[in-house]
Formats: sequence, structure tokens, C-alpha cells
Amino acid sequence: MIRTLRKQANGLSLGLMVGLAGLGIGAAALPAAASAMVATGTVDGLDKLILRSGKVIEGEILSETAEEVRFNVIVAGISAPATFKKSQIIEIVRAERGDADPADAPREGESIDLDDRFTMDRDSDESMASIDAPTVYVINLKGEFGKEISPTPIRDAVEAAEKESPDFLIVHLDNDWSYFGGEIPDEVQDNFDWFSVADKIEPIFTKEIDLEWEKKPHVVFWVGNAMGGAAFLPFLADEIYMESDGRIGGIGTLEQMFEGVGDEVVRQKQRSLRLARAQGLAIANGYDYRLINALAQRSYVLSYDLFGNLYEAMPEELGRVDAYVLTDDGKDERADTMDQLVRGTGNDVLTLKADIALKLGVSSGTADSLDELLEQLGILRNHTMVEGRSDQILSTWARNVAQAQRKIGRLFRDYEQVQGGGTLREQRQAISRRISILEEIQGLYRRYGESFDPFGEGMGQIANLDVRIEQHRIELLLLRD
Amino acid sequence: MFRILLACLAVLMSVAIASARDIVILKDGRQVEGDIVREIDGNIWMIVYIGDVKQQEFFASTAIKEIMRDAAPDVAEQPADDGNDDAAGRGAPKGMVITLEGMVGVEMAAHKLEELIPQIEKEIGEGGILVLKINSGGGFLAEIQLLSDVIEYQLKPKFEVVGWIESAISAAAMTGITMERLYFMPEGNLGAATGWSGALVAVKGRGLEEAKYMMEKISARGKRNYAIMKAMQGSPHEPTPLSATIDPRTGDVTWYESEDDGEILVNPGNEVLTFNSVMAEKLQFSEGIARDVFELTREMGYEEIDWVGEWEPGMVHPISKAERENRRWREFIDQNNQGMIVAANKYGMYVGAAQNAQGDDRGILVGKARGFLRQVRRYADASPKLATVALGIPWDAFDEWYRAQEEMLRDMMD
Repeated sequence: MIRTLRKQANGLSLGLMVGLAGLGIGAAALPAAASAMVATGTVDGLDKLILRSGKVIEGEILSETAEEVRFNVIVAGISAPATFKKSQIIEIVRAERGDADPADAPREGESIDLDDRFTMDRDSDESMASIDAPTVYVINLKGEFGKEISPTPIRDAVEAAEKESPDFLIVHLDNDWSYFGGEIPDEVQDNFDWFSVADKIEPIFTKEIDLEWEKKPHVVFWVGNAMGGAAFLPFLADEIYMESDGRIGGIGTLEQMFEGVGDEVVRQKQRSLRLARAQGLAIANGYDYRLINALAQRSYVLSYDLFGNLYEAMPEELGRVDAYVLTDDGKDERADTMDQLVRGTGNDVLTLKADIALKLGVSSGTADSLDELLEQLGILRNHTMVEGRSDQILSTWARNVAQAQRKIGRLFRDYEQVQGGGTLREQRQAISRRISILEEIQGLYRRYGESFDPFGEGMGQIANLDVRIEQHRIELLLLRD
Repeated sequence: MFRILLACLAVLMSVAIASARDIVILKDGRQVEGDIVREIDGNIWMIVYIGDVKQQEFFASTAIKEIMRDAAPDVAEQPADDGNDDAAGRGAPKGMVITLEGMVGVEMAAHKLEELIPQIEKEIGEGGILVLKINSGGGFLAEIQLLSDVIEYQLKPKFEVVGWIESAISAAAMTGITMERLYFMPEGNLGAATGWSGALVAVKGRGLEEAKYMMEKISARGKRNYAIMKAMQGSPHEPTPLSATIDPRTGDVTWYESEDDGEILVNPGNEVLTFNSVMAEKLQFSEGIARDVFELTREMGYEEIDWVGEWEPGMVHPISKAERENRRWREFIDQNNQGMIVAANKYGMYVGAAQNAQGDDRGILVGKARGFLRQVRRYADASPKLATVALGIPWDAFDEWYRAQEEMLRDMMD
């Protein structure tokens, strides 16, 4: 049922004009032409932008450069400026206006400002928003998954958002997916178990918001990179939007996990329970669990049709010409080639990209700027952006983790360099100093252990330090004159 | 000025709409007509029409005063009016949720569930609805029969018992299927019931046959085809495929211990089965999916259940007195688990140090070691199976181990 609703909503959004400003725009904001249209109901004489997404936007070009078009979107006489990258646009259809001179068409690098065609005031979005305008709060999740993107700072960041009680909580996810300066290949095999970290983050965006917030926001994940363990996070959203080069993937393949350890039937058990838990995360938030299978399993076969329906078979087995392979079984000649792996175009395991995510209805749209995202949410001209401490909390955590790591190294060096001393008093002081240093390291592990050791949360290191501290206590006990 | 224009615009819009069906009345007095296309937590996305042009609008729940669907109030949105505002709970059966969480045999233990029965009965009475909500990654095979017996012989005769599955893996799955009626949370899963130990080594031989026989009997208690649990257990010796066919007329599910005979491949022979909530419902392994007790009430076919207990933030069900006691005990066991490991580690360190010491030093260290050993004893008394989890000692051999340690400490002082 949840899934149906999501698909319907997506289908509608594809078929409709982009959402515009709410009803709450002022008289001064209505251009004369637009005001006339309210009365006549005509949409003639407008420029059109035909977007790659299939949408046709009507309105008037405000300015144009080689890279982008600033456009006054008009629907029902209500106007809202928005910027579109040329890369998003298939065609610009210019309305015929008697006063237009073809020589005025912009040349590369030039910009034509058409704002003076209107007598209206084009102030900031905020000035245009009505009193009831929906509030928008943005959290940026950047950095390494499990280190900077970690449960404690995320929980704190979301709690900071709660204070602002937004209508829309937008989470811009763009995790670091690099290794020694290069890109981690999509086919990296060992990332599925990072689900355990995603599983700890899951309730922060779902149950804790659902059950503890006075007013539940519409949670939107806007995805740049969601690779490795971060691939599970977008599935926590009410809606996913992607950047045009956004990716969700890098968690294959589950089937190689535990290879060479113990009995096959127990390895299968371990894989089965992990997959079911990850499927549950998707199901609980209205997404098709078969996508998790395709993201995680090399042998899993999944196809789709133009309506976004999924089939667990190859298109030729379905006997359909309108079905396309999403992932094949990776066997024999179907195994991804090195060329495909390097270019990230293989299909043994799924990496969801913006175009396919949109076709499947996983993503509700593609947006390369916050304005574009707000526009697709239908609130570009009628929203209030609220700011809180979330991003500061996240960046402070990242900084503190880095500092703590350096400090632990320094403390261990200090520990090694504590001089034993000759007298009993000096020996006692030295042992006490060692205990004190170890306790300080323990404290850092307690506070930041989840980022040093995302799987064990630093508990193993804390226990090891406990043993060393107790050994020093025994030494103290045995000191004699 | 804004508002005047808004009002005018709203009027224009409503005039222009010829076939509007839904009306949203905003708190500022505006009335907007169109088609609601999406509704999440009271927030509304609506297509409004102006002539041939349509546009999508968003209205935050906080700005909405009233929603009229098809130009008439939606009866589903209206509170049931039975002429008695005080009717809530009256005449409805009482229900309670007891959570079974943590390691089977340690935090999810038969003796504790048994201890709770008098309090459960006091709160919901005989015939009340008892929901056992399971969230466990498994544990001791030996506890499964004990838990199943408590459910079968002590709970089922007194209460209407249903299972509510958040996660029931391994021994928890094997326990859960004692109940005929299971509901899943959306994220729920149940299965992966393969017995193992150490470095992923499967239970084999007599132990495996005993586990299979036990599950044949427990499957029968839950009126389930054993082929399902067999696919969840897997086997180190043979494939355990499972397929099923759903009769399109009756909806009945027929199970096959093969990959090809049924229309739906449920488990390839070389894999181990874990159900997610969607597959469990589709194959009628579960009765439905419920996110909270309100959805559970509907899924169970009741109009209303009087769920006893107090609501707390972040909960999907209220906490009864029995459940509160259950939680308190579980927290105590969790603390003991950590406490026993720490105490046992320190005991070992002081014993080691004492063995290398002489005279008074040895006496001091043995005294310290004895203190930690007694701590270990106290934790084991509170929860016997902790000895196995924390120390790796079979729980029925703990007393013998303890006596041996005491004797060793005495010998060191001789």
C-alpha cells in the first residue's frame, strides 16, 4: 500500500507541471501578463523549457547564459523564478513576441536580463513566502560513512532540527567514497556489513521522528553519493531525490561474505538474516525489497519495464520487449568486464543512478541545486528556510574525532615515555600517571569509539585498556619499601 | 495585503473549478479545491485547477483546519460517534504487549515469562489478548523447548496469544512459531534457524536430528507445515528447497519441498530461508503487517482493544505493569552480563598475579581474587545461563567450576 502510494505520487509528478508557489504571493509579485491570465485562463505567448525529465515548463526567460537559464515559471498566473541548467534542458521554445530581435539572442558568455519587463518586485524567496509557508530544514551528511556519518552526531543533528519543527527535513547525503585519493570501485565486495551501522542510524530518521516529534516533517533524502553502508540510508526517506550524478550502491556482494569460514549452511544463514534485516529497512519505508537484493547479490536477476515494475527474471525469459535488465546473474559471458567495472556501468550488482532511480520510482526527481529540489517539491516560491545547529554539530563531531585520534596517538607515546623512577614514591607516581593516561584514552574511546570502530563502538579497546589499568593497580598493590 | 489577494485568488480558483472533489479549508480562512494526490502525516499535496491549467500545491498539516473529501467530510477522518464520549475501552477486550528480546536463554527466558503470568492475568484477565513481541537474534537451542512449553501449556489456555515479529532469528524464530497467529512489523523478519557454534560450524549428527525433531513438534503446535522451518534450518548434508502455490480461488497455500513444483520459489535448496514481512504475509505465514498496536488491532480484526499500560515516548505500544517488570529484569540481566565478564577477567588477572607472588603479596592478591570470584557467583545466581555466555562454561557445570576455583585459591594459600 505504501509502495502504491509512492508510485502513484511519482507518476503524477512526472505528468504534472512543476509545483509552483503556494497561493500566498503578493499582488506586487504578479506580473501584468500573468494577472491577465488569471482572468482569461490562457497560457499563450509563454516560453517553454522542455526538460530531460519529460517536464515542460512554461513561463518567461529572465536571463540566459551558456550554462543556465533563469526562468520565471508561470502557472495559472502565479509566477516563480527558478534556474535551470542547460544540461537539464532538451529544448528551449521561445514565444513569439513582436518586439523580440533575433540579434538579441545570447551569445556564449553573455547574459540577458529580462527582469525589467515586469514592474513586479522580485525579492528573495523568503519575502515571497506566505505566513503559512512550509518550513524547510537542511542537514548535510558528508564525509566517511561510519566516521563522520555516525549515529551520535546524526542523532544530535536531528534533535537540533526538531527544535525548529520543520515541515520538510531535507537530508543531503554525499558520503566520501574515496580510497588513497582514488574512487572506490562500485564492485567492492565487503561493504554489506556496514548495514549494522546504517541500522543504528535508521531509528533516528524513522521511529524517533514518527513517535517523538510533535509534528512529523516530510523527510527527503537528496542523494549525491550514497555508497557502501550509506546506500541503506536513502531508504529511510519519505521521498528520495537524486543529483544527476547521484549513486546508491557499493554494497555487493553479500554472497561472498564469510567465504572460506566454517560450513556453507551457516554462511548461508548469516547471509540470509542480514539480507532480511536490510530488506526490512526498505519495506518499512515503502520501498521494494527486491532492490536491496539487487544491490547486494551478484547472482540476483532483476528486470524492469517502462512503468517501473520489477521482475525477477531476464527480459528474454519474460518474453517482453518492453522489459530491460537491471542486474543479470554475473555468470560466464554476463560477468561484468573490467572496462564496465572501471566505468561503473556493470550490471552484476546494482548501482542505482539518477535516471534509473527515477524510472523505477525510487527517486521522485533529479535536482542539482537546492532550488531545483524545492521546486520539485512544489515549494520553491513558498517556503521558509530555517537554520539550526545541525551542520555545526556534524562538523564539530568530525573535527573532534580527528583531534581525538591524534590525541590518542600522542597519549600512547606519553604512556610509553613515563619514567619508572627510582624511589618508591617516584615509582608510585609513575604507575599512577600511566593509569591516568590510560583512563584518558578510555574516555576518548567512550566518547568517539563509534567513529574509531564503527562495528564494535570501541568496546574492545575499552576492555583492553581496562585490563592494562588493572595490571597497574596490581603493581601498585605490590609496591613495597 | 497578502491575505486579501490570497482570498481573491482562492475565490477565483474555486470558481474556475468545475469538477473539484476535495476541499481543503485552511486556518487562515482560505478554501482550496482540487484533488489530493498525496497525504503524509497530515501534510497535503493537492492538484488545483485553474481552467485547463493545473498545479500542485503543498499545505502543511499545521496550516490545515479541515479537509473535505468529495465535497463531503471523509467518514474515515471522523471519530466514531456512538453518542457516548466515554465509550473508549468499554466493552473492548483487554490486551497487553510483552516483549521478548535479547539472547534466547538469557534475556529471553522461559522462567521469566512464566513468572509474569499472574501479573498478566491480573491486568487483562483470562481470555485477554496477549501479544508476544519478539526482537531477538537467537541464542540457546536448549531454551526453545522451555519457552515453547510455557507458551503452549500456560499462556494459550489462558489468553488469546499472538506473536508480533520485529526480528526473530534462529532460536527466536524456532520459539515464535509455537504461536498459530503471527503478525510482522513492516521491518520484521523470521528465520535463519541454523544451529551452529564457534567459527560458523554447523550443528551436526545427533544434535541436528534433535533440533529437527523438536521443530517438527513445535511447528505442529503452531499448525504450520514443517517444510517451512526445515528450509529455515537448512542442512549441512542436503539441500532444503521450498516452493509454494497459492490457490487463486481459495487463497490456500500449498507447500512443496522442491524448487520447481510450486509456482513461487520460496527458498533455493542451497540457501537458508528468512521471511521478510511482505513474503510472510503473501504466503500466509503471517496474518498481516502492523506498525503499532492500532494497526495490530485492525489486522487482528478487532474494532477496538483496550491496550493496558502507560504510553511512553518512542513506544508503539503501552507499557503494562507486567511489561515494566519484564523490562526491569532484562536491564538487570544486561548489566549482569557485562558485570560478570569484567569480574571474571579481573579474577583471572589476580589469580595470575598471585601465582607469581610470594608471602604477604600472594595473600593480598588471593584475597582480591576471591572477592571477584564471589561477584561472579552472584551474577550467575541471578541468571544461570550468563555463565555460558560470559565465561563459556556450561551453565549446569558452573557449580563444579566454582568449587574448583575456591579449592585452587585455598591451595595457593597453603
